Amino acid sequence: MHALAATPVATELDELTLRRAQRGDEGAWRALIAVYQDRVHALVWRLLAGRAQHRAPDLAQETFVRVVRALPRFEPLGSAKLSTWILTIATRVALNELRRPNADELAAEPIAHAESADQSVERKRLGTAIAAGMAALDAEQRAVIVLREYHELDYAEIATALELELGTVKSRLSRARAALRDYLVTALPELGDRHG
Amino acid sequence: MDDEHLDLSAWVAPPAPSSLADRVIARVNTTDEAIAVTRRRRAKRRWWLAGGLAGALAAAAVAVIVIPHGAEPNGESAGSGTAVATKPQQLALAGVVANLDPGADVSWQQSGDAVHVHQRSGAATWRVEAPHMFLDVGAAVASIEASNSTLRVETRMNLTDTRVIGAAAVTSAAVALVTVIVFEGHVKLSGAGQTVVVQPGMTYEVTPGHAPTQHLDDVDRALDRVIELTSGDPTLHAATTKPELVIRLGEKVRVHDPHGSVRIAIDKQCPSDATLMYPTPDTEVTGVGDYSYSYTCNGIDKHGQLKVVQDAGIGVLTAPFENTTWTDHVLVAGTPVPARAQVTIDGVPIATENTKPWSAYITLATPSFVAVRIDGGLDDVDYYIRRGATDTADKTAMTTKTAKSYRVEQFKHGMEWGPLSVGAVDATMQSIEPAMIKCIKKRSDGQMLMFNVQPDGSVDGLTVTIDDGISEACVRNVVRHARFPKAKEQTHVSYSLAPPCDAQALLAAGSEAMARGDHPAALKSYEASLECKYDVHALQLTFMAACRSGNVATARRHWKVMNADMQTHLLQICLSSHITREQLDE
Repeated sequence: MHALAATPVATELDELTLRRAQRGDEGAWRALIAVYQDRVHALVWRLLAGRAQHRAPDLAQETFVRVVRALPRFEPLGSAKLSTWILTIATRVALNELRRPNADELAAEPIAHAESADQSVERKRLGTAIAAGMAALDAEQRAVIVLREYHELDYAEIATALELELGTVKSRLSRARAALRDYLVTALPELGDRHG
Repeated sequence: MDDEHLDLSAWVAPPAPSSLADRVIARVNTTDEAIAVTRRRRAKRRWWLAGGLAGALAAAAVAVIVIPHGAEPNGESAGSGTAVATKPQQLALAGVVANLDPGADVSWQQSGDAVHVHQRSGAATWRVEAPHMFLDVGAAVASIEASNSTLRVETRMNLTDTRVIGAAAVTSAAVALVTVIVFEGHVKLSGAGQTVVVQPGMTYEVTPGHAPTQHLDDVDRALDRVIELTSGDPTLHAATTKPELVIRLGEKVRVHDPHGSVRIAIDKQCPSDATLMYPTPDTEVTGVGDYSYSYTCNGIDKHGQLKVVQDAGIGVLTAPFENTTWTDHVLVAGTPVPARAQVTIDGVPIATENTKPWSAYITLATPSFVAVRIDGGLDDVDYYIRRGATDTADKTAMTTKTAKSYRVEQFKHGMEWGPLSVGAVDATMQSIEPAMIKCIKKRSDGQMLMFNVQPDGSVDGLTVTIDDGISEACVRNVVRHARFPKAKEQTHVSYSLAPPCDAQALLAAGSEAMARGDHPAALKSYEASLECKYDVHALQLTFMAACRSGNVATARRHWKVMNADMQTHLLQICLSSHITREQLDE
């Protein structure tokens, strides 16, 4: 599986800044948000694939509000990295959004894919197909595969984030990959030919 | 293309908005002073934390008439003051934050550590962090003492006495009904000289001259009715002294109970800091109905579902359980095949997680509450309930001191519910086909079998259409001795012995056509493959090709035989081809 996490800046907040943030230092909050904002936004944006991606900025905001409020309770020497803890909160915020009583009323949106200028036509097509395939997965499957493939959480971290058993994570990931592969092969038959 | 080596990097997410940090910090600074308003959905008895509402209220334009009486002019920290809101307004007092609805008319006075407030009219939500807030509502209709709590106070006016003064003030003498909803903390509510302590999640009403009474919505009334109905049965009455069934927090639970009422407690598995919004931890009696509840676990909002239905369950603990005379067994089966089953008697598990077939014996010589838990996958759970002592046969057994035993058995592959599936029939036919081919020497069109598979897996009603009498007798003998899986209902089978088709070749031809963009040709090949050999993958491809070809009728035909999961996964393909779910569901 290809590693996809792309974090050009520091991947984790330094300990001193974290301590300051935990004490309520607004400057430290800004530093924390700067380090994690793209990852959080990307995570909720992908989890909302095909549903309400325009809400991603709002949910990223909601995530960080919760993070800042809960930060004093975060234990830096505990088992969870700060990034994993924040992504866990983001995941739950996004899943909560999808499970809201009126979630069914959210109109299905055109599948969104943020094209970059240097992408070839073929990769743009692939990106669109992946977005559509992800949107076709159910929310729980999508959460597992997004956390694994785009954020490199290990099985145990995903299990914690989604409050699942380890075996469930593995089976759900396997099913998600198979469904996504089926979709991609069907949507882009040349993929199947190329990869055999 | 290997599942483990999917390259998903082409799906690029946009960056976060540049103003995110500013927005977060502005909101934290604002809403830390505000309240978390909870909004009650009475019809379905749901509670949701509505942080967004609090934020919206906080952000709303200020439109309030504030008349401070103290030294400080802004009204927020003045020792006393009066406010009449013409728009949603947040009012911050010392240790108390109020969100006033338009029309709310309040006055306040600071006195030592306490804040005395008079809410003359309108509605307001109060977050009290001061040691005490004393709130009088209307003209002595109700008085409230609150500390470390969040509550909402609404007034309903007697319109005949309404007086409009200035912007929105209404005379307090006109208050006809006060409604108090407590979200957090305990609140004392007094009316007509009587005081009640209002627990979180409760709603009380006070009318002038009357004591506070609890407001019951439809579900509350239904629950009370269930309690009344069951209280006449001493066995059930005794059973209500403790939970009969403990469900796990957050699961999607369906409880199948022949009596329609079961005392349920929720096991709070959250590692720490779990706050159950509904049902409250001491609310355990649940009647028939749908319940959604929300809770916070380590500060995160989560939801769970509970559905109680009055039935004996499907395929589980049905007739054999009640009518047995001795050691009849009860099949634990269903569709989809249960992933796990667990039996508890009076809350004590007698069989736990399993990956292999198992069976367990249940002896009902004493009053027993039997629950069979079936994990249907993901978080879906079914409980099938039996109260041993309330069934006639079991009462007799108790009287005569005759122990009655029941056997609960789970089959490795479960039992087909209803008739056999296509796949199950096909698997058995594949196993006997070589023997049939030996009988007929050569396949030809028109060679047909028709028969019924009985629920026990045996074959009857066999019709064999083969010209050669010897071959026919041979085939008949093979089929008659075939053993199909057990099922709940009889299955009608028609089977052709015509020359075989090559399903794989047809699939490959379909894929080639797809690659060329010739979707109608692909659909034709895929359909031929599907007809040749039923296969879920072929079904998916056929459906996709139908959508891509814009062939709504064909897409709809295949859509209707898909399970919900498959529909969910494949719907997007049709949507992207401008075929809507409504068209598919027609």
